[in-house]
Parts: sequence; C-alpha cells; structure tokens
Amino acid sequence: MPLLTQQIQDEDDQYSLVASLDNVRNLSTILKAIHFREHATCFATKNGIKVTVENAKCVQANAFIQAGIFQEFKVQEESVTFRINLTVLLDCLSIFGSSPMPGTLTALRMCYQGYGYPLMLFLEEGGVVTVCKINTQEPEETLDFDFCSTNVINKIILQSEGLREAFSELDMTSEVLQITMSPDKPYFRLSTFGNAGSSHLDYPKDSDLMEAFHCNQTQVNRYKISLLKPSTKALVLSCKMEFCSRHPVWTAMAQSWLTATSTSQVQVIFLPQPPKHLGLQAPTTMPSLIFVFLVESRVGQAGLGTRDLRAP
Amino acid sequence: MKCLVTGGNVKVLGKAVHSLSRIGDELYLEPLEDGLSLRTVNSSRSAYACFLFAPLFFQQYQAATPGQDLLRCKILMKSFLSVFRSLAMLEKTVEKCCISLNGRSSRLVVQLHCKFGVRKTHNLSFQDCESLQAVFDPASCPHMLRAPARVLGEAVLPFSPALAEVTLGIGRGRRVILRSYHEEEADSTAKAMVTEMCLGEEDFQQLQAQEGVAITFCLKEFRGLLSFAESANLNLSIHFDAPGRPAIFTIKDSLLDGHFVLATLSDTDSHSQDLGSPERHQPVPQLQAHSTPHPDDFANDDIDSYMIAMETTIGNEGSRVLPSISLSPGPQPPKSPGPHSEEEDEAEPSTVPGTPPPKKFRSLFFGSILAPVRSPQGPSPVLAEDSEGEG
Repeated sequence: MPLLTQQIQDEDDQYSLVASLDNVRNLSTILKAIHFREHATCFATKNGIKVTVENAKCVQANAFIQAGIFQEFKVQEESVTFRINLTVLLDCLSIFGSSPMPGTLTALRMCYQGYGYPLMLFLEEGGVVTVCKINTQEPEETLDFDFCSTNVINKIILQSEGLREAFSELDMTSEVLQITMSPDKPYFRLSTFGNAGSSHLDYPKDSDLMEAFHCNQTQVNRYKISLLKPSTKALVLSCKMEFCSRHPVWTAMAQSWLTATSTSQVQVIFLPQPPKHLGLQAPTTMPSLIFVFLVESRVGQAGLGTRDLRAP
Repeated sequence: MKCLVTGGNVKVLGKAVHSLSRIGDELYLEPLEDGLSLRTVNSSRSAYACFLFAPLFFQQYQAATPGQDLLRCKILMKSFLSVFRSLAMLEKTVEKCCISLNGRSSRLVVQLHCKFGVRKTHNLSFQDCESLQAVFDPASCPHMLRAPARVLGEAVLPFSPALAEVTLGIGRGRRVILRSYHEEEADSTAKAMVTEMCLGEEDFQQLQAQEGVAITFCLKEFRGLLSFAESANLNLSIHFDAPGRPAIFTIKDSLLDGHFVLATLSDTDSHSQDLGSPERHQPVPQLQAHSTPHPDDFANDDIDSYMIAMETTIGNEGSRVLPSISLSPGPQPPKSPGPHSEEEDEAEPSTVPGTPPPKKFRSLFFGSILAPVRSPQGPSPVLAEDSEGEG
C-alpha cells in the first residue's frame, strides 16, 4: 500500500497500535463469527489481537488474530485495550461492499493512538481511500480464564463439516442443549428437549469426523440454547471444532493464547446452567464448556496445519 | 411396528412427508399388512391425502410385533417434518432411517443413521387415534385423465404461486384447459389476471372425459402431490365427476401409491368455471341440472359434531374402515353439454344478476357413523330436486 505508508511513516511512533492487512476480509470474516453482541473488547499484544464478546456473563467469545496474519503489526506498549462497537467496526471494514469483486482486494491499515483516542481505519480499494474513525470506550472487565492443561476434564475435537447441519437444525423449541461427553457410549451426544419430543445426535468415538477424543469422566451439562445458537456462526467458517470441558481458575492477568502461526481461532466459552436443585448458584464453580473453532485464514502462507490448541 | 428405509428411499419418504405437510397439520401413521400408510386431512376437511408404502419399499418391515395389535398413531405434522426437514441433507448424509412404534413407550422413535457413524434419534410424542379413512372410489368417477407428472408440472408453472384455485376442464377439440380461478369481486375486472393453459390430447396417456366438463379445486394442495410425483417421475391420474364432487388424484408405483382427494367447487356457486358454455344467461338452468345434491350433503354445522363423534368412538378390532354410505351419484348420469359446445372456450365469466355467489367447499366424502341410515338432507339453497332417497 504505497499510497498510505508514505504519508504516515513518520507518525507511526505516536500510535500504540498499527496494523496493516492486504486483504481486510481475513479480519472481517473472523470478527463476523463472534458478532452476536454489539460491543467487543479488543486486547492487542505483540502476538496479535484478541477480540472478546460477552453475553450475560454466560457466554464469552474470543477471536484470536495472530500477528503473523498482518503485513505490518506494531504494538508499542505492553498491551493495548479498548472497547469498541463491533457492529460499527464491521460496517466500516466492509465499507466497499461485503462481496468481493474478483481480483480486487481491500487493504486495511488500522491505527490506534492510545487511551481516549478513536480507532482509525484506512481502507483502500482500487485507488479509493476511506478513512473511518470509530470512538473507543472504557474496556469492560471480561471474565478471564486460565487455561492450564491440568484442568481439562474432557476434550473432543470434531471436523466442522459434520456439525454444521446439526447445529443449524437444532430444535429451537427446546430451552437447553444438553451435551454429554463420556468415555462409554454414547461418547458424544447433543440432545434437545423440545415440543415435539427429544432428539439426540450421537457421534461415536471412532467416527471419521472425530479428530481427537479424550474423555476421562462422563459429563452431562446443559446450556441455554438461545445463547448458544448465535455463537455457532463461527462454525460456518471453521474447519474444526473443539469441545473442551475444564474447570476454570480465576486469574487477574489475561493469558496470551497467541502463538506465531497464521491460523486464527475463535473460542467460545459457555458456562453451563446450574442444576435446578442448587438454586441460583454462581456457575463459576462448575466446569465450563469451551468451543474452539479453528478458522483458516486465506493468507496463502504455509503452515495452516493442525496445531496444539493447548499452546502456552 | 418397525420399519427400515435405506438409500434413496429415505429421500422419497421425506418428500412424501413434505407433500403431506402442504395439506394438514396432523399426520396419521398406520402400519397395515399391505404397507405403511401416512394420511392427513386438512382442518376444513376439504382435502385428504394418503400415501401407502408397500413392504417392498422398506428393507425391513414389520407391521406389528407378533402377538400385538396393530398400533396407529397421530403426530403433529410439524414434529414429523422436522426429522425430514432438509431434503438435501437427507440425500447427502442419511444412509438409513428406522421408524419404530412401541406400544410400551409412548414415543415414536425415528432414527437416522448418517455418514461417519453419526446417529440422530428423534423421540416424538404421539396420540392414539382412530383410523382416518375417507370414502372415495376412483372407479366411480366418469371422467379421468392421466399424464406424466412432468406435463402437469409444466402446465401449472405459469400460474402465480399465490393462486388459490384453478379450474381444470375439457374444451373444444378435446383440449385440456387449466385456468386460474378468481372469486367474483367488486373490482375483479381491475385486479384479476386470468391465466389459461391449454394442453393437447396427445400429451395425455389417457383422456376419458367429455367436452365441457370442468372442476375447480385448490391448486396449492394439488401442488403438494405434483411436486412429489414429478420428483419420483410418476404418472398422475385425475378422476373427477361433476363440480362439487371430490376430485381424486392418484399416483401409483410398484412400491408406493398416493391418493389426494380434494373437494371441488360446486356449480351453484360459480359460473366462470364452466369452460364450455359461453352463453351468458343460459348457464343458470343448465348448470343446475349438473349439480347433484348428495344424500350425504352435510351443512357445515354438522361437520364438527360428526368429526367429534368420529374421534371419540372406540373402534373395534376388526373394522378399520368407518362404515359409510356409498356416495356414487347413481341417479345422476353426467349430462352432455350438447347445446353449447359449439362455441369456443374463451368464455367471459358470466355475470350473475343479484347476489354474488357464496363460495363453499363442502366436504362430501366422509361416511357418517352417527346414523348409517339418514334421510337425505340437501343444503338449504337447493336449486334442483332431491335425488330419490338414500343411495
């Protein structure tokens, strides 16, 4: 993007965050996957950007965009945090239209000067430049989870193609989605209890769709379907989905999940419904379910293979 | 009851359920010795649909566990349709479908075995019910035409999807005409677009009807069967009689047969459906000669009480078919429209002086169990004489 880099080269130092991307769709598709609430919190570290969306303290969706995806990525401070209207951000990112013309790419340069300043977006397509300034807000406190591998109870990784239709056809008259993970039959089961009756979707552990199956104990948890359904938008983009049941441990620091590869991932954390007999107990003591959607980004770089999702 | 459907037949079953869903809200599932029957009727009892799948359609078919009676059940169409909602997915991923009805558990279990070992189990709740049986006899209808479903499918293409009723008739030169039917409205001349489609006799495999006969029926309900027949590449037969008598649409195959019985508009209500008679004021007496008040003509009020009686009566083991009165229009042979068949079929809808015609679909083909012997009651606006007594 020679047009813009000359203008702002000298001014880069004043920005806490500068990121350039040749194809803005690599960013916008991932953000669309977590766009089920209007506002999102962005954390940027030298490893990349994490965008978090939360719903009712029951669901948290995180999109991790590695630094490797960007053509240029500079973070001056230790970490940069701000809250932004995700709807507006997505509208700006797709300002040149959401369906790309063949052969044209929209380039993006994102600059953030720091606390109190708006996020600046420079988008360029075919010589036309659009400048967007989006106001940022005080970052909200988001639930932070420490993902120590020792906390994992059960973990199952499935290929997304087997799940997409299943999730789109979930019986929405059911209030909950019950997820059963077990070392014995039925291994992995999604159940709904709607007006018509109950439906169970079983995935056997030796299925071709099953990439990894680690179950230590039988767990049956219920999750509110109305919170779950919108968050599965990411399923459309992803190639793999991980269901992981862990005990969350609270920490004060945000853990960095990002490593230097070019695969992005979207992670959605669900806190299950407490069983009725316990009353309105805070769900933090119960194991949370984490969906991780592995999204391939069309960058054309090598190394889009599987990666260990429990990277430090 | 236990049956297993495999391969492409799963999609056929799914399509049949989709067709039935266009008619009614409840599906009556009844395993019989000669196959599994899926039936439905619409809320105003003016349309009935039935698919019978022969045992050969299934890889495994067991109507009833030995020693047990044949069970039948009624489930919400929405629930059953949700199992087969996406036909594309059925085709792509489902390998086997197993339907079982267990008297002990009060659930109809539909299990879909999909690719990659994935298994979907639906436990649907159902209600016990009486056998749903409509009384009709295609053989008793004097007029019949049969064509590949594709021909009829192409013929209804020009009609707007919103069109409710269509008139089917035989015009001059033994041409089959489909014309859109619109109720007489005050501003009908301004709004209505009349569409007419003519098919030559050569498009039909069998055409056994006189010129001038015409019936008007609900197109939306007919489309349900038509789409199924087209996808299964079958021939569709239409058996019909005078206007007001139900029209029977059938498809037949070695593995399944389907019957859709739709009520038709009776002549006293409509003049524009007469495709062979252009003379404006004459049709009134002639058409009335065609209309046949039936021994079983029910005024609408009677329908509900009759239907309640049908559903609360305890059926005996042996009789699955409701006792019924034959509805053959014995006394009324079809009249030939001799005097007015010279003119072309491009008739203007005749204007009726006086009050606009009320439109009523009457359900005429359910037998009565309340009173097997009933004195014939005609509807109040009887414009022709009663036939002589019970049929």
